[in-house]
Amino acid sequence: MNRFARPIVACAVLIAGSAVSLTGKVAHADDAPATAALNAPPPPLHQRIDQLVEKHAVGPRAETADDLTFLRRVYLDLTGRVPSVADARAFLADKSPNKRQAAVDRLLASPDLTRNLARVFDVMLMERRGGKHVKTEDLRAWLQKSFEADRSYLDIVTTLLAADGSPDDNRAAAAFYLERDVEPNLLTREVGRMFYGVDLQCAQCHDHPLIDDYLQGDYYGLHAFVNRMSLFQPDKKKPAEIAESATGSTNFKSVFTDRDAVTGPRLPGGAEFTEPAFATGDEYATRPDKNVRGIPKYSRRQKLAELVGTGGNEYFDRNIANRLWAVMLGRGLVHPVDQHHSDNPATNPELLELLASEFAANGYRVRPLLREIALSQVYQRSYRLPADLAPSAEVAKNVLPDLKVKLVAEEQATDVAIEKTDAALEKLDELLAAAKPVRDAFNKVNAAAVEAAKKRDAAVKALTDKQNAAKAKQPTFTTVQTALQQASAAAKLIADDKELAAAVATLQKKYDALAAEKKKLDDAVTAAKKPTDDAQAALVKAQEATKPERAKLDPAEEGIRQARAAFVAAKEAVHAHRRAKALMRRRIEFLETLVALAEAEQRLKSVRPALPVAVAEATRAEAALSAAKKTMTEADATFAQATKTLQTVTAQLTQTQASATQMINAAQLVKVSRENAQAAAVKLASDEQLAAAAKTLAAREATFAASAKQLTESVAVLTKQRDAAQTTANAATTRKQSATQTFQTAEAAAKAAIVKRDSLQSEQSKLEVAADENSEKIIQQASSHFNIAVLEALTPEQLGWSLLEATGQLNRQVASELAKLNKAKPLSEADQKDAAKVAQRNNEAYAAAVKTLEKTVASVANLYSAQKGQPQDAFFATVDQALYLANGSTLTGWLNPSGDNLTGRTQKLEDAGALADELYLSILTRQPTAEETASVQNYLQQRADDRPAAVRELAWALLTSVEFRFHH
Amino acid sequence: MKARYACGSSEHLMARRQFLGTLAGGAVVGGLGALTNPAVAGQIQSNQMRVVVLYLAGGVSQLESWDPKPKTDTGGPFRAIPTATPGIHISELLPKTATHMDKLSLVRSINTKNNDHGKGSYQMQYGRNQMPGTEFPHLGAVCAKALERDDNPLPGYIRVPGGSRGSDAAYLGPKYASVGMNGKPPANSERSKSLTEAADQLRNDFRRQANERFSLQRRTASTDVYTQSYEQALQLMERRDVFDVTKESEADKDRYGRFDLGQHCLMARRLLENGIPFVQVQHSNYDTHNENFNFHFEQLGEFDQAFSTLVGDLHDRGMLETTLVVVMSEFGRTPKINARYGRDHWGSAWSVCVGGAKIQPGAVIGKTNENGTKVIDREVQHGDLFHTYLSAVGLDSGGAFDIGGREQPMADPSHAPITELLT
Repeated sequence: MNRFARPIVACAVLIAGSAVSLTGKVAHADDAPATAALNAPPPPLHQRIDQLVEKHAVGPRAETADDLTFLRRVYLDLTGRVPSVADARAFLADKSPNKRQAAVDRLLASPDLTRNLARVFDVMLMERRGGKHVKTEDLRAWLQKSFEADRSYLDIVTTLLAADGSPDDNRAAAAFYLERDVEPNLLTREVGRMFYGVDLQCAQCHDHPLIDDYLQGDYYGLHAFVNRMSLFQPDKKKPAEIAESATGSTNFKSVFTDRDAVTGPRLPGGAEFTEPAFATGDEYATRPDKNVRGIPKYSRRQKLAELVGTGGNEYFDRNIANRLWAVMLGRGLVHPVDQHHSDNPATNPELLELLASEFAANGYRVRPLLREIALSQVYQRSYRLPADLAPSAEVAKNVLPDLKVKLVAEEQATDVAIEKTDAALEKLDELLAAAKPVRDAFNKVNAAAVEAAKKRDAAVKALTDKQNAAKAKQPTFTTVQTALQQASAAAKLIADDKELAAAVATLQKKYDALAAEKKKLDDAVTAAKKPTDDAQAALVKAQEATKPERAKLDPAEEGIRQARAAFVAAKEAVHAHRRAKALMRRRIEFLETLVALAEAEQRLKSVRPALPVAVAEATRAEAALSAAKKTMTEADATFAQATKTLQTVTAQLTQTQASATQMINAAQLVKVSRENAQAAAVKLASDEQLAAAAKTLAAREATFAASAKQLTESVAVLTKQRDAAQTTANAATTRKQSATQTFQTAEAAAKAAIVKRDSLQSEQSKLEVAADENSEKIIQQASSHFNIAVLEALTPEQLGWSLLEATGQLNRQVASELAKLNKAKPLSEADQKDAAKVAQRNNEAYAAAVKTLEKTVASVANLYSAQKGQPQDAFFATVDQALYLANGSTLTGWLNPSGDNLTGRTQKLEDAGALADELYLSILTRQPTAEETASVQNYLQQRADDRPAAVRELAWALLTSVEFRFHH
Repeated sequence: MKARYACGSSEHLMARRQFLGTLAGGAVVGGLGALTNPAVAGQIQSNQMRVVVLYLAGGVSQLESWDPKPKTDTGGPFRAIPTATPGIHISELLPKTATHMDKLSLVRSINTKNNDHGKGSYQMQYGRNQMPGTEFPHLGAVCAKALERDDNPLPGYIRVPGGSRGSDAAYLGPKYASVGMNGKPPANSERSKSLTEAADQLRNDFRRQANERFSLQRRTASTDVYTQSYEQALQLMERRDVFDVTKESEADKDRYGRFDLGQHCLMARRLLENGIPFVQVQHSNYDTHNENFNFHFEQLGEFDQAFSTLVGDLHDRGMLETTLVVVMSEFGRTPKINARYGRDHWGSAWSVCVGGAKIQPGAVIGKTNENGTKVIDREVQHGDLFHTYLSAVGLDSGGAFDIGGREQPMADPSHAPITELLT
């Protein structure tokens, strides 16, 4: 154990050093409150689990789940199906504070548990392989028995890995090898994945392109354990077994680089070791032949089982602890469970260490570990995140800078460690290259030994064949000899019996022939002895000849082993740094997302109320703008009118003024003419014409004067009018100017208000999108840190059994099996009163029902599971599945009302509330909300014409809902 | 510390990250719901890329089809004829196909280094050498996943003819495994007699309402995918006759040919038109160890009619720009003609025909020597072809799928697309 512990401890310290608790305090590994507890027994594991969860907690965490959510969860995890409606009601009614623990203990003791564990481990280890050589049901039965007997996980795995499928061995346990056709590359990958949590697949041809940790050397180290095995089935009618060769080394060459390499067997995280060396030709307990299964004296397969059985490999312990955690929590601390590597550290490495070491210390017993996990607070968390994330974001903000500083330091430390690894790799490469000629030289002499061994085997076989031939002849010879002796004796007594004499002669002849034949055979045996001895001597000589070369090769290989160990140690150091780095990055990302979300929400808090204000303001400003525009338009019109009036009046005035001036001038001229005429008339008084002209002129003058006066008056009026129009125009101009200014101001204000409104709107929607994205991320991250319960689809088996339970089909089957049993073997009246006997009968019926229904569940699983031989943990949903539940006859049949089944008992309920209660409790293991009850009532009213159909449809809808399909 | 080879280069990693980060259509769509980047999603949707593969089982002779060598010791009795692309000649057994060679291209320099049916058919359809202990998805499964569209309830990868679900999707999951088409609609696609359409509507509404309520508490990509599968099921029930080739016109049935391959190619057209991303049609009986020439004369006669009609139709209907067409086998046939007038298995120098989508039309990649016994220019392997097919439908063949947190390269990372064949 110590050999592997160092890097892990280093990692744990690093993580602890950077760990963050919700209080914002940086926790240190050495401030654990454990000093006082040195003497006191440690608290129960589930409490220590929660302490470590608390110690490394980051981000928001969910409340404890309610009773029924817990009940559904623990039933699914431990029994593989949802609780019955009766169990749900009983749990609700139970007021005891310890009822959760009591439920866990009850389920752990139930036969459903071992049945479920058998299914879970079968799927985990076989990934739906099975049926070629070993039936799945046989393996499951063996697993179930093992769990019933409380066999340890270590014991189970050791048995699987040691199995050779021979009849005296456990055939079911050989399934692990046999169902993989004993194909060495497949076994390498699968042993790595299943028992060490590492998928070395890509390292088969070259160092893993995506994952730095997995090297070809790791692949072939594991490969060396299994590459001598093969499927042995000379007679197809007889069961296959596993043969093993005593020789075969693992040389490899990258498809990308040309580097040649070789390795001995080595477990992930383990070291190479010295193997017992048998002289060439002496390696087998049973030499392989066409119809003979080879059994080497030293079996690497058994060595693998033995190494596993010894325990103490932390890769192994972490793998199973993580897988069992995933069985209960729906996701591994390392996820996916076969991807343990330094870029993918456990979300809580210290917790994984605790689980692994406790599991190992407790003898690898599955049940106690499941119990402790089920009792922990972290297991019992709700699947809903708390609504207010601000407090945890506040904490995150405080610790982020420190984490980032530490990350930089870690990055530098990684680089240093990588340099050391490169140096160690160079050293290893050098030794590998140096060892090549030595190995070639050994192989060359050894080839002679192999050849000698072959000859020796042939000679031995020839000798054996001849010995067998001689032996085969012996009984005939003896019989004839005896017959001859007796006949001769008789002939002596009855000397003249011709027939007897003839018989003696015949017998003598036969005896002679046989004696000659026998001698020939015996001679052949004698003759064959020498070649055998010679061949053996030659082999010994050849073996001797290999010794000096072996003596050179052994230290070279030891040197390689040491250099590889140094390289592996250097790599482990790199891994520790990389794990710490990856973990810090993950936490930084989580915390940054949290802060970003909180900031977005904070900003939203001010944006959300500001937006309606801005919208109102913009609306108001737009209204003001349009009013101002209207005013401006009116002012413009008035101005135009006034200007026009002024122009008209001014024009009239000007014209009138001109007319007036003209008239005045004309009048003046007429007046002068008239005065001249009058003067002339006075002088020429008799001139009547002149007098008349003067008179006429006087008349014109008067007319003109009158006109001039009139015009002058008009000018005065018009002047007044013009002045008035001028005043009006001036006023209109002022108004127009002020209206324009008001409009411009309103326009600017409206523009500003609109910009503000629009930018707030766009900011809000951006923030909302960011908040949505971030909260999705947070839910993901929170669930990968187990801050909230993981939402995972039911496994195909859980789905099948839950459908059977919820629809009442399981109960129907039990009833029918019980009836069958009671008919076949009726209980006596006394037995019927014996509670133990009745319970036993019920258990028998239940077991029979489960056995029958396994086939049904297998067909459901067939539709819902990943391809065989593939990881079974990725969720997918297909149209085929949906069609199967929507239109297939299976579920339709189960939903037909019959006696006490789900639809049968539900449709009898008059009250819609009671009906909804029964449906929701039976199917979803919870009570309906008021809203849901109302929906049910509404549905029943809509389908008042056909209540049984309505009940079937409601049951169908709930059975096909997300809530039923998922584990939460 | 990373191995320094092509697929670990920074450019490649960048491309891969980018792929995972944005185009992740492939990565995310199947396993986990919606595309992460709607812009890219739109792009894929508008392109609606599809693939049709004609698989000539047994190994069609390159000499009697795409790479004739008339008047040489290996050439056999048939002539080479000019095609719609000047300079490209193909066998006279493919006169109708010849008129479409302006839309198609040839790769004449394949060396798969293998003469075994099983291994060859794996190489060509899975893009890798078969490796014990490791399963990879079929080209069809890769396309079904990477080209999957949320609005298509139909299976993504269909084999014609066939009957059952295949198990050829490996880690991509059964959702992308092949569905063998026998003209019947998928199982359970008809509403139970006891349920009226109105009642089905009602119960589905109730289911939706229940899911809505649950999603207010918690919602993930997986829950969305699950919810959606029921909507797709309802859509599929409306489109059951997609699989019924008898709905096609009598004239079309005549044009494609009243023999299996003809009707299968017509079926392929129908499926492609209905948005199915990958269809593989199989034509058998090319393993001509005896009487190579007679058999090819017969088989390729059917092939020529059906294939040329399909290519013509895809072109006329404007679908060729978005539909990759591939004609492949597990290998070619020996240039040497054996004593029974047959040709044997031959993986060292043979051809495939490709066209449509982003394939450069009228191109010839690579060359064999005068009598076809050796590749003398631009040797390619199955891994390169696989990359090319994916690239031709707009995928980054150097990218990877994210399957339950495990990264799985789309195509063999030690190969790359034939870039000069792509537009």
